Amino acid sequence: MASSSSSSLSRVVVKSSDNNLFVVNKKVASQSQLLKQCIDNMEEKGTNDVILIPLSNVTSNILTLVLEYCEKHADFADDDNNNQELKQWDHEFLKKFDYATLNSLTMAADYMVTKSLLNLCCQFIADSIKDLTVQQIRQIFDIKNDFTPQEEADIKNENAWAFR
Amino acid sequence: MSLVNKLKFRINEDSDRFSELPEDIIHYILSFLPIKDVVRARILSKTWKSLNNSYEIMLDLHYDHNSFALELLLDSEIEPEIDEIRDKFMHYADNHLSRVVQQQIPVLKLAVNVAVIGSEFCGVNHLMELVRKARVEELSIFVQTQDFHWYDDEVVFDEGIILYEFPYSITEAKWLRSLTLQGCKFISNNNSGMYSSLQQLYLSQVLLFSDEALSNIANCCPEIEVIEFDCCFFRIDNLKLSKFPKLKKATVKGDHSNLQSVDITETNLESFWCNSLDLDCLMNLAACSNIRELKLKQCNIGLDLLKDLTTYFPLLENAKLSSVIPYTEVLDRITVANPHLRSLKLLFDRVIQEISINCPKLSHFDYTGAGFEEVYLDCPRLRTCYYDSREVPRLILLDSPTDMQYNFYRFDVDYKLDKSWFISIRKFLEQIARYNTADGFVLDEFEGVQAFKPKNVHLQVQILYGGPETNQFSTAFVDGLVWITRPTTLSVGCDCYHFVKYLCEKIAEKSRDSSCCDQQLCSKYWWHNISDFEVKHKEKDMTQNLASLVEMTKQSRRGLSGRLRPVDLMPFHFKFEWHSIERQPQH
Repeated sequence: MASSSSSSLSRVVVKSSDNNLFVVNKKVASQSQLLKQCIDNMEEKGTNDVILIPLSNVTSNILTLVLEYCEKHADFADDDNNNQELKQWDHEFLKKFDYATLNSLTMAADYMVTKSLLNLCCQFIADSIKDLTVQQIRQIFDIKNDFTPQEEADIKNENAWAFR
Repeated sequence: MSLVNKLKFRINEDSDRFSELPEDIIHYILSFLPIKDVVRARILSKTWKSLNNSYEIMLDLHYDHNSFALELLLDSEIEPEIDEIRDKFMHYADNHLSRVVQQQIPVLKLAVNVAVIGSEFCGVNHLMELVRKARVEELSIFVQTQDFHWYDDEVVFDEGIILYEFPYSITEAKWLRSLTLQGCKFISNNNSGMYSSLQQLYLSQVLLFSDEALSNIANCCPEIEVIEFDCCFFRIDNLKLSKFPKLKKATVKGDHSNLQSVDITETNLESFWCNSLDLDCLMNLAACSNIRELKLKQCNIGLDLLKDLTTYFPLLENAKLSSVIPYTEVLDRITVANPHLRSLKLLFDRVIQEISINCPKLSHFDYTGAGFEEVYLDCPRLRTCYYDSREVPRLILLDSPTDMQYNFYRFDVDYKLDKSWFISIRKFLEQIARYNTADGFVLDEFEGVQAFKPKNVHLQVQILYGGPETNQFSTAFVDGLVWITRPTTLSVGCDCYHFVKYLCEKIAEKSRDSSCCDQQLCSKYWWHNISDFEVKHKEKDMTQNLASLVEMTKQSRRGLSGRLRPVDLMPFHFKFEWHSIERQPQH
């Protein structure tokens, strides 16, 4: 057992920015290109130690969500048939969050190089913006309007076609 | 779930974290949005604006063979050959578009106008392949061939015509929403399984080979909501719009060879425009029930529908019907009682007995035509009314607000008219001025006591022909018109020399001869009842200078157009104040 090959290493430990530890199945971790790269690097070195990956930019709250996503997608990784079910799950998954959470999740997905999650978040945000008025977008995303009324009118005039 | 709730609570304390997303993520989010929404997001905040401005989009991209050729001709000393121009243009368009495609820059509008020599379509095909890969939202394609030019009005669509066969695959482009085609052809093609999210399709001078070709378009573009056919060439005689399941707005205009009818049965149209000579529109009760906007010109929708717009078009908000009654048919009565109708515009070139409009929301009514004998308008929200007819209606009953923005009646007068015309005008005025009619009215050769006093009549007279032989007529016309209407203002224009000359002569004589006037108002000469007047030419006061005003009318040009600005058409402006019946005339 002492001379176990690199492939026998099945779990890694991920540390969040607020120093919480998460034990993650390797298959799940591989959903993140960042984690996968770390694992591959360590395995190349032939280490038998438990791999600890610190993520200085992701809080444990957000990390929990990313890992929940990765776990689900790892389950479906070898199964193309259940695409529709997975899509449904993705949608339900994102629907639960407020936009601030979604925002952090997007950043985490970008940082951890989880392309499909990043895609999903950006598409979701874009879809939510699509049918809203400017006022509604500001309210929901908590964006402060720092234009003077004149500046705002100027932008509207410059792009009158878009505001019709 | 409890974890999620906790998260929400905690994170909500931060503000505007959204704008803190790195630029490339913001750009990535923007790349999922239609360009219109991208541009709108610029107004959110300064941060958003700067992030947005660094995101490259193209609003208008135009590759135009004609302007390219012109520039080339102006720049070169020796006139280039046609295929040289073609090759250079294709090379330029190809290079430029390749870069746009490679960088996946979103393009709002892409217009491609190419010219084909003979049947060498490979260059166009190559360009179209690039267009298909580009992220374009509104695409416009015009392919010129030897048989179809931009300057050619009369294209003969015969068997051998060379036209570009439009590749259906273009419609599959993911972002494409609107497609405009000019001078292409569609042939039937087995393209099952193809899917397009196209919503708007505009076809101009396009050849549709068969019913299958149309079905093909409908099958691969099931999302189409707006469709327009402008001077297309059909090999079919019936255009069935029910092929497009989501169609909301359809327009058929111009001359369409071969086509006999447009069939909108089994559609759910909200807007239908048809302006095409002698085309039959096949409709049924169910097909019309969702229509909010109906504009028909010169086509035939069937008399039953016309007679009962209310039942057939329950949701109608905006209607414009011009010359829709076939010459072989007789229509004697139109009833409009649509609860949602806001604007109604009619043009009928034959006299119709009766029109009855009873619409609670109607705010604009516009009629041009031969006339109605009886008009009943019950429209409490009417804002503007324009009524232009040859004949003065015999009976008009108006129930409309007193503070209308615009209430305009226009009648044509033949210069050989007789007294009865003035009587009908007087009756008409009496009827529309319903608040002044209590005293009753007796007209006796213009000499009766003027018990009915019209108030606030603003008269506009446009004389289209006023040659020397109308001298006598003008005298009678002025006398009759002013007597009958007692206008507050009178504007005159066009060929009005005799009219104005006589008018000025008479108002200059106002109150001069008092021998005929008794204690009451003068019942013989209308000018004796004028207490004061003002005369203007455009903005210039001419009250003291009537002689030169009359001279000016000689230069007043003859105009025929009906809807220029009144001040340009009728620059001579008179304003009258009249002695009232209660007061003693001052002699």
